[in-house]
Amino acid sequence: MSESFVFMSVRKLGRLVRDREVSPTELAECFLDRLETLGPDYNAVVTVTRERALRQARHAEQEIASGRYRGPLHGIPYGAKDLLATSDGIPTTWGAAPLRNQTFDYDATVIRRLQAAGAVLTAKLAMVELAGGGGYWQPDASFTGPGINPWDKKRWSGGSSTGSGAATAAGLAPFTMGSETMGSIISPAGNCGVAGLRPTYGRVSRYGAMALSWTLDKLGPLCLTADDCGLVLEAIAGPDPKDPTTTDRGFRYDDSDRSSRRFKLGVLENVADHADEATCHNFERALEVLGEVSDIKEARFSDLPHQAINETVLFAEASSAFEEMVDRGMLAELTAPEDHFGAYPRVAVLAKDYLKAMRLRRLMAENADQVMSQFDALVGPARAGVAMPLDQDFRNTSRRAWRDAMLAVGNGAGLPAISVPSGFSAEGLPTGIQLMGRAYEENAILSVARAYQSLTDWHRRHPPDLLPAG
Amino acid sequence: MRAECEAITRARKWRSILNDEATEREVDVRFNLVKGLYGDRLDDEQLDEVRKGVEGIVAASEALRTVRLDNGDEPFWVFTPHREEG
Repeated sequence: MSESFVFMSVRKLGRLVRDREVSPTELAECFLDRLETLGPDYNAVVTVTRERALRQARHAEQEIASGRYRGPLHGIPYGAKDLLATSDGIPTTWGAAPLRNQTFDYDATVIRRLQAAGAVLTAKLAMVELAGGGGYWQPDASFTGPGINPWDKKRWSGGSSTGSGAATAAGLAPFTMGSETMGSIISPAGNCGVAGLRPTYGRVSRYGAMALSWTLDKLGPLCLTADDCGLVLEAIAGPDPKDPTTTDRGFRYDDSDRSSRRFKLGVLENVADHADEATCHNFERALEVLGEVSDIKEARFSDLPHQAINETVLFAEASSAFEEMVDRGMLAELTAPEDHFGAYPRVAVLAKDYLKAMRLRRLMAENADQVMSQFDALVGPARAGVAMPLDQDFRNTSRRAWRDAMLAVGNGAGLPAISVPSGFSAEGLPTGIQLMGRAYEENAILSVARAYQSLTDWHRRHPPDLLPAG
Repeated sequence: MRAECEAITRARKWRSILNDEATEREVDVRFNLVKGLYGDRLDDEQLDEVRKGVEGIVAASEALRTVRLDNGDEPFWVFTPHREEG
């Protein structure tokens, strides 16, 4: 089976499928084989959905042959984080050992929308157990093992969308779906050197997705390019009566690039202060590149306790979301020892504190909108450092991440952001930058990200041992 | 009317907040709630970690309380991302 399609963008693969230069079945078999043979090397896969994939691929093939072409995702394989419900008896494990046999009799809205776009589900992908809802503090926190980074097998792929990041970077799927409550798309995208898009809260239906925090959870794609993220977002965005938090604002991906346009970018004061040397260096270089097409000014958010607001909201909602698991003692069956008790303290969040946090959240969101209205995007490092070793206790690092204003305000205010690769460290590990936009302005950040990727080639670099032969 | 953000007084860092006697009492009360509900499932080492978790939660409460709000300042509920038109 030809592997020449591996590391090809969704945009390019879509054209090949449309022009019938490759069949959806051929594509599906190529990526199914890679998922089965290489997936275990990265602890990236929970379930390969071969039967369903080949059925969908054959259906796509018949439709295209009969002249019914659905668009750029038609016949394109993808993998989904294993917190998205899938029917057909395919398990949806939430990364948790006690739920390894959990099944649903319906598909999450995102899965249905991708099916309607003609995409082919090839795998359910590994994730940190309960998307980090147990409070893990080291990478080995999933019954499938720690997410292994395709750039260095001794490093973590990032969390909590570990398999989504690794599978995209390792060429196991042209695109994947992840979720983010507090960094779970941006982090693995940065660690694995791929593009990861966190849409505006409410842009994408969460129906059928495991809830960690109802007012913070978002679903979004991880792809090889920013352009591909736009294509996937258009397919999955839109109102859904089954998720009342979805917005009525439509989303049409605008991929037009006007070369005369200069972007307005903001950089938060001290945004890279806690970053490691490589991240900092590559961020400075990224600003130089972006400076060719942008005017860059300093920006500042108001002095609110962003971390305390998000933490209180997340802990209170997670405590309710997992109440039954906690009460039934299921935490003791989780993989990470610290997840056996990490959820218990959250019972101590007071209702008045949760409401105070939600009141302050309004101030945070209004201030963020005021600041963001001056810019097409804020720019910062995607993460404070490169992917950490698999055996590292990252409590200190995670505390540092919590102080990341872009992470805290971006997630707390529900703002869209995209992470794209910005270079490598001396050890060959990817670094990334994130571009964060005003609510509902995914097109703006995608436009800046595309411009950056047109001026750099980091997104065209892949782990050498994973390149197809020949 | 909304309280002004400038009213924020964050004179104390989170960790030092925990040195206050009243805060210690609050940690004790909340920790004992958790311990009373689930203590029989947890060993001493785990209970120590749970207490640290409760300390963090109380510290977050203190941080929230440093910001004054007016009576009419409502929660962001049902939450939607904010966007001024025009």
